[in-house]
Amino acid sequence: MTYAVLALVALTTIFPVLWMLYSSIKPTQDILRDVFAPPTTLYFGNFDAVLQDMLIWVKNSVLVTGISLAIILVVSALAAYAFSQLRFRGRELLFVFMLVGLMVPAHALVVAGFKWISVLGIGGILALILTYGGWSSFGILVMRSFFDAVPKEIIEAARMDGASHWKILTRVLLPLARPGIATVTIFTFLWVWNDFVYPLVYLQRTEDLTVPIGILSFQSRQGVQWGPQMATLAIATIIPLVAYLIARRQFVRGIMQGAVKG
Amino acid sequence: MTTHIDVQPGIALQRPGARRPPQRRDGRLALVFLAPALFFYIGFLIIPLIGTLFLSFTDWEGFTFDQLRMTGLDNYRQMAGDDVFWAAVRHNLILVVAAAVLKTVIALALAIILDNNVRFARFFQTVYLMPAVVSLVVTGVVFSLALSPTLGFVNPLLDAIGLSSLTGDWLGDTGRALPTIVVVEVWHTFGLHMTILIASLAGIPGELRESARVDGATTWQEYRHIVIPMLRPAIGVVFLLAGIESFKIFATIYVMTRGGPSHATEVLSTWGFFQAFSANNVGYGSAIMVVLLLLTFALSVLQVRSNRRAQNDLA
Repeated sequence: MTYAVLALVALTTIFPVLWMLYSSIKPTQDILRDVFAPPTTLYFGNFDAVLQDMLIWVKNSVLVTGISLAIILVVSALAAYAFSQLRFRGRELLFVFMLVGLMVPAHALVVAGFKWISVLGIGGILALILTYGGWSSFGILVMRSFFDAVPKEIIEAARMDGASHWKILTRVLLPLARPGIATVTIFTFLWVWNDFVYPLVYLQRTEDLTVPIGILSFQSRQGVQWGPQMATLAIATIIPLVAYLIARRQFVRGIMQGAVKG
Repeated sequence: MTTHIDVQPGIALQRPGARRPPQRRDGRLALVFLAPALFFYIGFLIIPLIGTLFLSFTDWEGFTFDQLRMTGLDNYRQMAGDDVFWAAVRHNLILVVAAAVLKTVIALALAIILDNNVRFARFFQTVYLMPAVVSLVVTGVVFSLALSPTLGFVNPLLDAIGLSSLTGDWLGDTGRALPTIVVVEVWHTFGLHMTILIASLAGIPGELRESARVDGATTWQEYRHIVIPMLRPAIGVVFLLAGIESFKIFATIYVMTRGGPSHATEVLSTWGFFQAFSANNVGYGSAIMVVLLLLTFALSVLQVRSNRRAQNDLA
């Protein structure tokens, strides 16, 4: 009975994804004939049809996600160091100010944000990367809590040995905060990779699109061509899915940390 | 950089380990460390946030700045008479309550089941958490295809298992569209919330449950009188997190229904977006986004509080 419930939920969870994955290797007419049937042959025509576009979109997504992630990690680590190890007036107030970003949904800012980047005269992928750089609240929160947990004696000892602030950050604190860095990396990666609203508004040219918007543009451009559409979905999903299966333990730990510390 | 040694007068008077009051000493250095974060944060998050607030007091259509006129609270007055706005507020509330209740109940039930030495618990947990990494756009398109009345697999599946009476146009029917969105929402993140609850269950001291069992408590009594009461703060946290998440809904609805059919799934985010980008009412659209921001902010403050309470209870 217990297992029946668990299996039923598992099936409900996994089937839509599985269906999308196996439909991507069925020719469109086979999908239309029987939406359910698993593929009888390996057919890569759908992937051929979308490969050219998808390669560009995947390249854009990798570029945007990679650079944004690097920016967020660097600025969060530096800011978290200031909040955790330096003493200055208004520290806690500024910290609370930096956390406002946690309470703001991105789609509420996108109207003014779009007008603002036009005023600045930037657009496309550059505007997107700069904008993601602003979403560092989560990173600062997590890294600070890791830095705060490092025993004072360790930092004092390093200081006695003549270590500079930079050395203390890079040689002492960051290695000890590795699980925190992993948490920030995983959640930022997923968020930026899957983000929808910023690229929807900021990216105007087809060759700039990221994967999620590419999928939608494909739909409106071609009507619903089932096979190729399934191939775009499969490519878009396999990358985060593999990342999840590899980093599953870190991901689970990150959720638990997020819930306790949030 | 030289070594610092704390030899400031006065420090010695303090209790060791007490928090020293912030001093000016590191001010300039702190600025150097904070500058990159502040540049991006203020430049690309805070300015758009203030911009949204500012635009909500104008009647701007979004073309050139010389057409921008301050109109005070006009946009907010306009809301009072906007039926779609009120429908959107209602749908937001329905979504929050329905999705938060369903996510919490399902997450709790599954967390308890998996907590009871079930075999393959890790496998099931991995599977349940998987939808959370699938993007909302992919989720939206997959479900749109699966639920399509002409081509999808959901209706044929219902026919096959003898539930033909349930078949229908899941996203095209005004009465069904919103509940369908709720189900997709729940599908996407129930595993996240289950994972949080599993962590909290693991945090309950084993001796407490042990002693209840020794005293002859049934499993039901053990949960009813020990586990659930101790889990209550965590359940509160999950409920609010789930609620906030559903309140912020945008991509799912944008991809699946665009707020339709005839506004049946319109929420604040989609209506504000439509006003600003499709109807060129940047001012009014921004005002709707401000309402959304204020409500999200209020929910988040509630969540931070209940989280703090949950932590105090654990301590």
